[in-house]
This record gives sequence, C-alpha cells and structure tokens, in this order.
Amino acid sequence: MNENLDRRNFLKMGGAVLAAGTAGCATGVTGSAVAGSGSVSAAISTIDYLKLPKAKGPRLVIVGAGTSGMTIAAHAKKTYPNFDVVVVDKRDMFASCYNSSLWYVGIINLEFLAAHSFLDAAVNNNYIFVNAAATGLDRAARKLYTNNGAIDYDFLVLAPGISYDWAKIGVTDPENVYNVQQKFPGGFISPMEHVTLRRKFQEFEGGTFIQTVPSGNYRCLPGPYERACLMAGWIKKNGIKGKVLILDANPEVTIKAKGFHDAFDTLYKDVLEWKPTSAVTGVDTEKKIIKTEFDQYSFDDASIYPNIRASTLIEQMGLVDPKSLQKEANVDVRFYNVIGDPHVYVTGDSRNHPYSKSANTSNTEGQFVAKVLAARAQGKEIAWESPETVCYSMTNGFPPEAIKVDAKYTYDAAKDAITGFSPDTKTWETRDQAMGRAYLEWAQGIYRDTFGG
Amino acid sequence: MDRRNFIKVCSAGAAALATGVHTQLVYAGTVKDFARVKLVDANGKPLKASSLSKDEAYVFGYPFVGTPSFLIALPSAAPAGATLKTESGEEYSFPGGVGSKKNVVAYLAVCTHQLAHPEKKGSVMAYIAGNSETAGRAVAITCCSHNSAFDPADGGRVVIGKAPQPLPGIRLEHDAATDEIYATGMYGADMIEDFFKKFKGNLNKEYGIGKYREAPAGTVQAVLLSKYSVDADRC
Ligand SMILES: Cc1cc2nc3c(=O)[nH]c(=O)nc-3n(C[C@H](O)[C@H](O)[C@H](O)COP(=O)(O)OP(=O)(O)OC[C@H]3O[C@@H](n4cnc5c(N)ncnc54)[C@H](O)[C@@H]3O)c2cc1C
Ligand code: FES
Repeated sequence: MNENLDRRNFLKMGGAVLAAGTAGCATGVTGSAVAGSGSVSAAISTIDYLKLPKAKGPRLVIVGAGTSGMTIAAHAKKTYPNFDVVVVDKRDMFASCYNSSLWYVGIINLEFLAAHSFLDAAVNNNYIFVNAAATGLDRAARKLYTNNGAIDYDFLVLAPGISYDWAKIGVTDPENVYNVQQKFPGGFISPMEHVTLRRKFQEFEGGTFIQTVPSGNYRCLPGPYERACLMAGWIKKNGIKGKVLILDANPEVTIKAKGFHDAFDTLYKDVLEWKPTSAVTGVDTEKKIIKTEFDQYSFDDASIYPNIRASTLIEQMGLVDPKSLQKEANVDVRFYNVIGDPHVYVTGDSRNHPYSKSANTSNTEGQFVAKVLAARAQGKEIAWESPETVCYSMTNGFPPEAIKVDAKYTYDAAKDAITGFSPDTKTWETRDQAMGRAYLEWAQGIYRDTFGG
Repeated sequence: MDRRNFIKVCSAGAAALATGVHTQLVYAGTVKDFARVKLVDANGKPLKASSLSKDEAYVFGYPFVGTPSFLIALPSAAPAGATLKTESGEEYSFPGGVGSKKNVVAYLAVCTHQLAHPEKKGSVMAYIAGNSETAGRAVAITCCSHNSAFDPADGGRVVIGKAPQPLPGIRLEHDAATDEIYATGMYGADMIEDFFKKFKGNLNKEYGIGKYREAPAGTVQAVLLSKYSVDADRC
C-alpha cells in the first residue's frame, strides 16, 4: 500500500473517531484503526470529504441502491426538483434479488436480473451515484462517513437491506458460519449466492436437496417455498432420482399457503416433502446434517436460509429499536424518520414494521417516502399512505405458472402501530400461465421505475 | 378553455353539424392532434361501431405504430363531462363515448403506473366486461402487473392501485352515415416519450429500428386482444 493512501485512510479514520468523541452521537466507525498513531492532531484539523459537486439544493443522501433506495432516489427529484440527490452503494453492479430463483431453472436469463446500470439510473433521474460503503454517521453534524470520505447531508435515507442472523439457527462458531454461508448459501442477499445456488441446481444429480425456511419476518416470505417448487419441478422434468425437503420453522406455509399446498400435492407429490415446525438448530457441514429440535436430516445439497435481521449497518450506527427481535431501526411508524430526528430515515427491509420484506413493498413505500421528504424539505407534512405488497410466486416452472397476493396494511392511530393486513387483501391461488407472465412484467415494471427515469 | 382548444372544439362542432360526423370534444389543454386514421379489422375492412365485440378490447397501434391502444365497446353509453386530472395537475374532461349508442371509447393501453402494456408474448392489461376482482366491479381496464384498475366508462379514471393518473384517452370520431370509427388524437397525460424512452430497445427489436415512432397512415388495424397477445392476464 502506498504512503498517500495510508495517510488518507488514517485521516479519514481520525476524523470519524474525532466526531465520535466530540459530537456524542457519531457511531459506526471503529476506533481501533488509529491505535498506535502519534499524529491524531493532524486528523483533528482535517476532515476528508468525498469530492462532490456543490449541492444545488437540499442534499438528500441515500445509502443503499436496492429496491428501496433506488425508488426514493428516482422519485424524490421528480417530486421536488430542488433536491440534490446522492446515492451511495458499496456494490457497483446491480443484480436483482427478486426473481433470481427463476434464473436457476432457465425461466429468465442473467440479463433479465443484471442488465440494469447504476450509471443510467443516475443520469435518467438526475442524481449522483457514488460507489462507496457507508461506514459511520454523525447525526449532530449531519455527516455520513464512507470508505471514500464524508458527505454532509440535509436528509439521509438508510436503506441497506438485511443481514443474516446465523446464531438463531444455532450456527455461532465463525468457522461453522463461514462453512454454512459459503457451501450452502441462503440466497436471499447477494448475487454471488444466486450464482452458487444456480450451479447447485444445474449440477444436482440425485439425493436430498434441503431448503430451510426461517422463523420471524424474514425477507420474501414465499421465496424459499417458491425455490423449493422450482427445484422439485427441475427434478421431475429431468428425471433426477431425488427430492426436495423443506424444513420449515413455521407451523404453516407463511403466505399463499393454499396455492403452495396445491402445488406440493398436485405437482410434486413424489419429489417434495414439507416439514412444518422444524426450525434449524445446527448444521454440520462436514457430515451434511441439519439438526432440528427433535430430529436430524441428512442432505446431499442444500440452501440454508438462516433468520434475518436489519443490516448490521443499522446497529453500527446506533439506530436499533430495542424492541425489535430482528435489530431493525427505531423509526416513526408512518414517516420513517429516526425517532426524534427528522433528518434521518430508515426504509426498506431495515425498517421495524411488520410489513412483508419484499420488492413491491419497498417500491411503493419508497414512492411515499419520496413524497414525505419532498414535503418536509418544504416545511410541510403529508398524510400516511400504506405500502402495497403485490407478490407473485412461480409454483410451477414447466410451464411457468404463478400465484399472487395483493395486500395493504392497516394503521391504528390509537396504538400508533401497523396492526395487520387491510381488509381488502386479495389472493389468486390457482396458478396459471398468465400470472406467470405477469410476474416477469411485474419485475420489469419495478426495474423501469427504479432505473428508467 | 384556451384559445387553441376553443378553436378545435368549435371547428369540430361545426364539422359535426355539417356532415353528421361526431368527434369527441375535449375541453382542456391536454389534447394533441395526430393523424386521422380509420379503424379496420385484420383484413382491412372498416370496423363498425355498432357491431364491435362487447366482451373484450381491440388493440390498435395509435398514435404511433409502437404504442398500443384499446378500442372498447362498453355495455352502455359513457356520458361526457367527468373532470379528470393528470399527475402533474392538468385538468381535462372526458369527452364521452362515440357511436350511435355513445358506448365506444379508446385509451392508450399503457398503464400509467409502470408502463406495462399488451405485447405479442402476453398482456397484463385487459378490458374486463364482467367482474374484475382487482377493481371490485364490472367494466374495468385492469393491469395485473401490480394490480391497478381504470374505469373505461369514466375517462380512464383510476379505480384502484398505485397508478398515479388516468389512462390517456384516444380521441375518436364516428361517422354516423357509415358507422365507421376514426382515431384523431390523444388527450390526458402525455406519456409517449417516457414510454419510448423505457422501451426503445424492445420496440426497435419488434418493429425495426426507429419504426415504432411512425404514425399509421390512412387506416390502422384493430384486433381483439385475444388475437393480439398469446394470453392476457385477468384480475
Ligand atoms: C431470492 C429472492 C427472491 C425474492 N423474491 C421476491 C418476490 O418475488 N417479490 C418481492 O416483492 N420481493 C422479493 N424479494 C425481496 C426483495 O428483493 C427485497 O425485499 C427488496 O429488494 C428489499 O429492498 P431493500 O432496498 O430494502 O434492500 P436491498 O435491495 O437488499 O438493497 C440494499 C442495498 O444496500 C446496499 N448496502 C448495504 N450496506 C451498505 C453500506 N454499508 N454502504 C453502502 N451500501 C450498502 C447493498 O449493497 C444493497 O444494494 C426476493 C428476494 C430474494 C433474495
Ligand atoms: S404497471 Fe400497471 S399496475 Fe404497475
């Protein structure tokens, strides 16, 4: 590493640590990196900013170019053209999580998921895309720290998604964590997991493939069941001597149960077994055994979906709701600002709402949050709107046939809480090909909304 | 009413008096004139307003080759007058149906939510004459992509869903003497350029480079949605 880089990084760390020390509420950057250095005073007088064009209006910084952050970025400026929007993401290549299981069995190609450019999105929607990782936050100074320098904000949206919580499935030893994560990925966060899982599908030659389903409000409730259906269909279509075993922590299929049971019973009777109330309590990656409270199951291959929690970034920034079982952020139920701070918002799958953690929810919520931000930048308030969860599942891959749910949520003002699905929730649980096609169009609509301009 | 529309309205009215041709009158600044084309069937025979199917929509490429629109014969007359508003706040009024029963209407078949539209490989947009689960009623244009529904008897107004504005209308003209139908323009939200921008790649592939932007000349074929798309989702 060259000297300049070292020094620059040192200054950055120094600045952040200083902020932590003086402002009292800066969090997230560990101080250990500066230990042993004698020149802290140099850092004190210098704050290493990320070089950005001068803000032309209130600066709205958005961390996370996923469904939530991208939606807010696309809509904020449309709603309030004065906004100066900066989007920060640590990845430089988008690959869609939603719809990714369809790629494993060839219903869509990789282009469908990944031919979406952050550059085009930034140009189309008039914002700046910064490829950097957020590392810390100083709310008193309204400053976000990234690995490439600090950014001052007027409004900050944190939409960093989720992290896995391995301990909840009894996987605690780091060696065990990395073994499970690398060998049998859950496939609900990063594109590389999808690449590995697709390979597993294509290379599966027989035996038992286990798909686990965690408890809690995990990302994409139907996702693991859908993947199991696709795998079962793949086994059937290719005459593989194998089966899918779903180890479900829950007593019932968590959503669209009728449609999934219908597929289990009519399409996959001999190739799919569903075991309810079978929460994973440990994994032996060498012996290929998954333990549950009362049993243990051998597998030939698996996708182990552990419990989830809000992205660790939320905890690093000190924003966790102490009541949240999934370390989600403590934000206003209706308007998503961190309690007591109208300048910082947490949206998408890091929120502490009982909403379905899904793309449509993040997309509709993001459109609303853009309006909230636009209003607040002008000193106004707007009425609450429910996000909407329109969610398809391909219960059959050959030919592609889907089922669907369309839900909104009810807000109880007396409790200041979301109390459940709204009464007009609808489901379409008899799978058909028209819905299979609509499912693909559904995703493309969201790609257009978030990237298109 | 601005001067431009006033003139249009007056001249259309005059034409109606003189010839028995009824043009939909749109009282707002959202009207755009496009080539006047006659709607014909797949064999080039003119469609007659009084013998259109009432079960499903016809699809025709208007105002451009690459922009699908729906022609719909409603079960009953669609009276003019409802005031509608685009997302950007422009007001306009629904000109009502044409034909001897005043039940024939047309809309751009591009959902105002995220621009889904009928494609050859399938459609998430459909006109549902019977009961639509999404709309919670009969007579609706539904977009099953994210479940929005529009009222074709009321200017394309949003019934339910996240669609932020009514479907743009296609201005029709009806010749009482021949019962033939013409498309002459568009009113409501102006979303064609946005549509082109987002679908350029696909449209170039489907119609040939740049061809989707061409205006139909003289006549335009309108075919039943069930013939146009392999399969249409109904919700
Ligand atoms: C296999 C699978 C199937 C799914 N199926 C469906 C479905 O059928 N229907 C549906 O509606 N939803 C589905 N989903 C869920 C949907 O994808 C997510 O719920 C949704 O994308 C959440 O949006 P988000 O913006 O909160 O998080 P994400 O989309 O995960 O975005 C988070 C972003 O934050 C970035 N980030 C994180 N930390 C930092 C940091 N420190 N600095 C900078 N950037 C950071 C990440 O790189 C990422 O780009 C599925 C998900 C998966 C994985
Ligand atoms: S594109 Fe029509 S409802 Fe979303």
